[in-house]
Formats: sequence, C-alpha cells, structure tokens
Amino acid sequence: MSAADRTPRAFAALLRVYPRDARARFGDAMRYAWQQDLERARQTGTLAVLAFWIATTADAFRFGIAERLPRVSLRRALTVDWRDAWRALRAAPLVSTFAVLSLALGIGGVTALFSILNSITLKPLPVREPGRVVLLDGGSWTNPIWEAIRDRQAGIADGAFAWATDRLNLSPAGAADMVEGLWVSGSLFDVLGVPTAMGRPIQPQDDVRGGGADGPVAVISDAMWQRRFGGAPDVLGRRLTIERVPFTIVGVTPASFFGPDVGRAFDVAIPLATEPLIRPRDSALDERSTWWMNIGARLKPGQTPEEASALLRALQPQIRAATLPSLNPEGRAQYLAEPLTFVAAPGGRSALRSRYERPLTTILAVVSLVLLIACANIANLLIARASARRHELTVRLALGASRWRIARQLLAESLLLATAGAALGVVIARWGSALLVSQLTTYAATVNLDLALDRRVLAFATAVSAAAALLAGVAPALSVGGITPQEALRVHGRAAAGGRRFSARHASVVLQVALSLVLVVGAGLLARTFVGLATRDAGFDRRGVLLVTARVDQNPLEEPARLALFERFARAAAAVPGVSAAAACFTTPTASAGWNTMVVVPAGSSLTRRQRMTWVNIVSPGWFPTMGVPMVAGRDFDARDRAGAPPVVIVNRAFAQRFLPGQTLGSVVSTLEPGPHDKPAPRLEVVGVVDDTIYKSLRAPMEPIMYYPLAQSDGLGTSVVISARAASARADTLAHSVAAAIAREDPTAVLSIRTLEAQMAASLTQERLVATLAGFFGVLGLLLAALGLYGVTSAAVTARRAEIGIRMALGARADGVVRMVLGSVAWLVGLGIAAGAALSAWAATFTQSLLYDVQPRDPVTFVAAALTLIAVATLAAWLPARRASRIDPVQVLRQY
Amino acid sequence: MSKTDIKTAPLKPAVFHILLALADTSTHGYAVMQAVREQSAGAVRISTGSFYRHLGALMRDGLVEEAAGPTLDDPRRGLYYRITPRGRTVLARERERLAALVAAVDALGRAPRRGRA
Repeated sequence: MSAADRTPRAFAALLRVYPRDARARFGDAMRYAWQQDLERARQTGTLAVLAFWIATTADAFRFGIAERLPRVSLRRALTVDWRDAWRALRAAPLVSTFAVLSLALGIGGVTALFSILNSITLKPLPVREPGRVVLLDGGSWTNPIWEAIRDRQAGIADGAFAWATDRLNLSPAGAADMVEGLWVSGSLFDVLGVPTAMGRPIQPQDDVRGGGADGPVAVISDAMWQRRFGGAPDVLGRRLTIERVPFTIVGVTPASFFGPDVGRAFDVAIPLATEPLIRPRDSALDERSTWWMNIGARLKPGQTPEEASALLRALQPQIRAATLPSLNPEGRAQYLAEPLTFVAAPGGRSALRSRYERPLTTILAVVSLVLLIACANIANLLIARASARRHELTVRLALGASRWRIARQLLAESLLLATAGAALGVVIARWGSALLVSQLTTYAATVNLDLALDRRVLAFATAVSAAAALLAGVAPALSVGGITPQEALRVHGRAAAGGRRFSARHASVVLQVALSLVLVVGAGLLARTFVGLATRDAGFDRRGVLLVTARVDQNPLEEPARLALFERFARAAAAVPGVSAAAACFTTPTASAGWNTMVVVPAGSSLTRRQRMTWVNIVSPGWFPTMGVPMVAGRDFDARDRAGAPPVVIVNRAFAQRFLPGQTLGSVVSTLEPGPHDKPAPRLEVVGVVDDTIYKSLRAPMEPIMYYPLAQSDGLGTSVVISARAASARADTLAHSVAAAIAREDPTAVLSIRTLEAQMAASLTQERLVATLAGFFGVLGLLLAALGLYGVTSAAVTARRAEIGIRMALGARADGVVRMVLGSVAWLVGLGIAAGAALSAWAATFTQSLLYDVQPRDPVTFVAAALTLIAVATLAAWLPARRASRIDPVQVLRQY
Repeated sequence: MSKTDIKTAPLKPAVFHILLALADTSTHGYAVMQAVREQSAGAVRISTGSFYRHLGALMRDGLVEEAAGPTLDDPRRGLYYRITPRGRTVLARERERLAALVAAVDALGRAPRRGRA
C-alpha cells in the first residue's frame, strides 16, 4: 500500500477525534486544508512531511478533545492544581509508591480475571453474525445423526455444520508430533462465514466419502502457518502428513479465527469424510454409538432458536429412526424420545466456560476484596496526610478557599494515584492473564485464548480505577468538613491527649480487617480442598508409574492379532531394565477417556437408572499389581482368560456391594448396553474382587468399576495405554527406554508419554490454580490490612505522644504503655473479626461447589483464620506500641 | 463561551487575523488560513485544527457566517464565509483598542521614564 493510499485513511482517523457535529460541519474543508498543507510539505522534503503529520496529529488531539469538553464554566469548576497534588504525593514517596503498587495489583488482578472471563464467556466468535449461530444442545453426537441433519438442513435453518476436535500427529515417522486438529464438515467455513486469509476453505465437495476431486485437503490456522511454515507465501499446495496420510494444504484461516471451540485453538482442519483414511479399520463415520462431534446451525434471518428447534423437532422422528443404535428397548425408547434442541451460541462452544466460569468468578470476587482493602488503605493514608496538613488546609480556608475546592484537591491526589495504579495495573493484567492461561495448559490440552485488550476490558479497567479513586478519595475529602477556618487563627499547639473518637480511619481499619478475614477464610477453604484432593487415597499407588498411550492406526493388524500386539507392548515394557511390572489397559485413573455401561439387575430392584451404571476398563493380566491396586478376593486375569474361553470379569468392592451383595465370586453379571460393535452383551462370571479406586475424577466418590480381560475384549480399538511401574520411585527417567521398547514391537505406533502423577496433577489444575490464587491474594490482603493497622496505631501513638510521656513521667512502665496502645486498637481488630466472620459465613456458601470434603463454614478454618489475623494484627500494632514505650518523658515535658 | 467574552476582551491574535482576512472578501476556509499566515508574516501560527475551532466559535458568536460561493468552485474546499455586521463592529473596536494602545506606547516613548507603576 503506498503512502498516497494511506493518507485519506489517516485523515479519516484524525477526523474521528473530533465530535460528530464538528466533523459534519468542517470535515471536508479540513481534509482539503490538510491535503494542501501536506502537498506543500511534500515539496519541502521528508522532514517537513514528518513535521506535518506530528503537528496535525497533536493538533487533532488538542482541539478535537477540547471541542468535546463542556464549555468553560464547568471546566473551570473541575480545574485542580495537579502540580500541587503531584507535589503532595512526591513528598511521601514511600507511601505513594506503596499505594500505587497495591492499587496496581488490585486493578491488574481484577482486570486480568475480567479479560479471561470476557474471552471465554462474553466475546462473540469472530464469525459473520455470531448472534445467528446455534448449537445442538446436549453434548456430543454421532456421525449418522449429523448426516441425517445435514440432509435435512434446508428445512431447519440457514445451513448446518459439524465439527470434532482431536489431537493429530504430523510426524511422518517416529515420535509423535501432536497438534490440535479439527474435523470439520464441508459446510463449516461457509455457514460460519469464516473466509480464508489465503487459498480456499474446506468446501462440501471436499467432504465426500472416498475423497473429493482434490484428494485429502487441509486448512491450517494462521498460527500454524507462522509456526511451521514461517509464513511462507507458497504454503498452498504443500503436503502435510497427518497421521501418516498425505494431505494437501489448500487454505490458511485469518489470525482472528481460532476455531469454534473457545480456548482450544486449532492448528489443522480436515474434512470429516477423510476420517476413514486415518482410521481405516476403526472409522466412526457409521458408528451409531460413537458420540464425538458437535453440531451447529445458522438461523435464518429473524428466526429464533426456538423456531429452529421446532422445525428440527418435526424432523426428529426421521432423524432418530435413521440413526438408531442397537439398544435394549428401554434405551431405544429413551433415544427416540429425547428432544433435539438448538441453543443460541454466539460465543461458540467452550469446555473452559463450564469448567472455569465459577472458579474464575470466585477469584474475581477475591481480587475485588483485595482492591477494596487497597482502597481503604489509601483512604487511610490520605486521611493521615490530610490531618498532617490540617494547619495548611485551615489557612487556605481562612484565606477564602471553598471547602469544595480543598476537597477537590484531595480527590485529585487519589485520582492521580488511581491513574498511576491503573496504568501499571493494565500492564499487570496483560502479563497476569497470560500467565494464568498458561497455568491452565496441561500436557493434554493447550489452552489458547484471545486476551487482547478489547474495548470491553479497557472500559472495565477504567471503571474500576475510577471507582477506586472515588472510594479512596471520598473519605479524606469528607474529612475536610471537620476543619474550621478559626483553627488557623489559633496557635498551632499540641493537645495533651489524642482523640479516641471513632473516626473514618478507624472505620477503614475495621473494614480492612473484616475483608481480609474473608480472604483468609476463603483461601483456607480452597487450600484445604486442594490438599485434600491431592493427597486423597485414590485406591492405587500413584508414585513411580509411567503411562504410555500407543496408537496403532497405521498398523494393518486386525482385532485378535492387535490385542496380541498390545500384550507384546506390555511384555516389552516389563522387560526394560528398571521396570518392575507392566500391563496394558483401556484407560487409567483421571484420564479423559472413560466408558460406562448399565448393569442388568433383577426385576424389582430398587436401584435407580443412575445407580445401575458402572464404569468399565479393559486390563491385561498384572495390571492391578502394576498400579498397586490390592486384590480383595478371587484371582487376577491370567492365560486361561483367552478369546473363546468363558467370559469373565473382575469387579471392584463398590460394584460388589451394590450389585452382588453376599456372594460375589462366581456370580454372573450382564450389561444392558451392547459392546462397541453393537453385539449383544454376554453373561460374565466374576472371578475376582479388587479394592476401590477412583475412575475419572479425584472429586468423585468411589464408584462401581468392572474390568474386562484384554484378551476377551473387542472394544479397545486401535489405542492402548501401557502402564509401567518403576523399580525406584522415579518413573520419568524410564520414559525413553520404555518408548523405545514399544517402538521396536511396532515402528508405526504413535506414542504419548507421561507419568501417572503428572496425569493426576493435571486433573487438579483448576483446584491448584484457584487455591494458589486465593492464597496469594489472601496474603496480599492480610499484608495490606496489617499496614493499615500499623498506620492507624502509629498515628495514634504520635498524637498521644505527650500523654504517654506524662504517664511515663508519673511512673507508667514500658510494658504498661505497650498494653495500653495494643488495647486501644484491640477493639478495632475485634470488631473487624466479628464482622469478617459474619461476612465469611455468608460468602462461603457461594464457594460450596468448589470445595471438596470441607464444609463452607468449617469451624477449624474459621478459627485458624481469625487466629492468623490476630497474630498479624498484634505484630502490626506492636511495632508502634514499642516505639511508644521508648518515648523519653524528659524530652516530651521539655517541649511544654 | 458567552458572547460578551469575544466583544469586550482583547481578541486573540488568530481571531483578529481571521476577521481581518474576511473584512474585504468572502472566501473558503483554506484561503482564510493562508491569508492569516501571510498577513501576520508567519507570526500567527495557525493550524487547520485551531483555525476551525476559532471559526466555530466566531460563527457561534455571530461574527462570521456562511456565504454563498461561486458554483463552479472546487466543492472539496468547503463553504465560503463572510464577516457579519456584528463582526465588523468587533473588528473596528479591536482596531480602536490597538490604535489606542499604540498611541499610548508612543506617548510613553516621548515622556520621561518614571519606572514601573
């Protein structure tokens, strides 16, 4: 773009600084004048052009903003002596720095959390008319359902689309090179209205079974293009090996588009119909009970989600009947009846939203409390300074300054502090929100949010800062009311005793103590929750276990041979020096993969539908000892349990208690739902009982689990998890050798590796983050409150210097003086703790859903928090009290 | 800004020069700016932004008004402006004020120096 093209746009931007009426009146003429001046400048030289732009921009801001300001009288009324305010703040650099820092932390923290909440809950997707995007409610769907809706979309809405997320391996051979993948329907880009920055999007003709005209095609994200291809302009047409299948890159999406899932940026998008290329023997396209995709639609103009749902509902019998999985009659009836509903989703779908909205809101509340404490603290400092300047202020009053004028001056100081705090706060917010988001990323999922400071975030930060300035400035400004000009006429004498009246300063200390108690209680509850979960007995020994997920999609082996391959993996891992035991399984505790089914119960059983559910895992012989799960009764799986032999299961204690009370071993159980390949469920003999373990979540109670032997199972698909127990406690050192041993068995296997401890720690990311943040801000709040108390006590000691000196001259002892000073603030702390306890009891109920194994009004936490506060408060008051006890009576008396 | 401000107070140099430039002729904004720059030999630094701000104030106070321009002129230049009778009065008064000032300064130059009052 040449300079000449940019000029009109620059002029238009400058004109925007002016208010609308001025723009309408003089806009064209100003543009003309600028153009003339610019041409003259161009004839003079580059420097003149530069000078022109600088002068014109400065001008636009000077006069454009002046035009927007109200007329003179109001402006004069708001004029304050900023230099005076600046001088006052500079006079006490330490206090001012502290005030700015605490405000910056408060404003920064609040803004950081708001910007995260903004991006996961408020920001619309960067697509055309996001208000018209709806999603099919209720989680994930099967491909047959999507195809049934796709074929009927014309009668429902203005286009439908579907997508699924996946991790895809880009490495042509050897170790996995995972990126975030997106399976998309051919309609997704068109219906969402996402253009490509380069090339073309994936189109319906690409999403055809057996391949489109251009073969397997992929669209990559801008981030991927920059990262992998260095932004190469000739990226279109290049080959990309995805899961060992060659794809052709046909397009690059714009940087603003991260995919339909908020918080999960995609790297590579490929058509749904290419799925059989990647999983030739395991394709989910025709699976009627593999629920893996999200379905959405674009409403017709003026259509509501309810109207679209009604249209969909009319087609529901056809859709459901065409996609019926093989279910028992009960399940079938439910499948047919469950209504299909569209819900508005202008912000896209986000797993983060449901998971983090509540914790983040809680932390936002916590940081707001810290900000409040910081404001109270600054109010305190300003009041202290105002009373130190009492003489100056009374003189001003006596000389004819209005009270409003003086109050304004004090408000200006707090505004100056808040502005500095806000500026620093925005920096902290940018840095802090990025840091927070990076903490949410685990080995399994990269969290990626658009945290750009948009208008909403900046407006929020401005509003928060203005509120902080008012909160901090109003009390000192009001204190001007108590000053009389007559005071100035009196000699500035010293009072013998300081006032003990309840003042604004006292109120601010009570408030600070109360709020920090709320913070400490909250932090305590959340910390106890985290520690409780992290140290919970999960039913197995989590130390020293290495987990390797192996995917063998490219290996042509079919099911029975594939199971044998998995067993060979386990044996190869067990043979690695330093490994004491190894076994194969379908899933591991706290992994994201899970499988559940319904157990057949005798007629007349009182168990509800939900209570009949059991988790399922598939394990090879030796898995229980490898994981450290004790056998309670019966035997582990062994070589007898082959395909063709009588089908057997092992159950955990919770399963036995719920479904097989009394005689467990030798009992026969059956499941309602069929296995993955829609075969009727066999009758299974229970040969062993193991101890309870958690399954998906550390938060859940011990639930029934049923274990199938690997050799008799047909539901494992092409992926398996190998668990290897290290002989020593360190499992991570074995990663390389175990992976190499497995790769020797099948060089095409795609491996991902982590320790069981890391996997379990990752499952507690949210709890850890919330507890850490609450702890950090709790300590900060406590520190601020301590400083506030210190300030008030110091001021009281200074004011009562003469009184204390006289007392000591009359024989008061040092420890008596300390006690007296401490006593004078004890009631403030007591009042604050009482108020804080009441407030916590009320506020704690909101944290209920975040807590585990702790009551929101846990007395231990409350008492511990109160004791902490008392200890900190005593220390904060003791320092000035000790100073009081060292007052030299002789010196004091000499001054009178 | 109240109307009395601009009538009674000494005019700002830029305002004075704008009125002066429009005293003889009605013309468009950019020409006025150029005239101000030439009249004052660059002493009055007037930018597009400040010019239109002054012009807005002058129109609000009724010292300058829009005028019909020649139809074949370049429309991008914007409207033509001319001085109002009221504007002439203010300009004349400012002229008198300046003349009185000059006379006073001249008288001072002839009289013996007394020091500052």
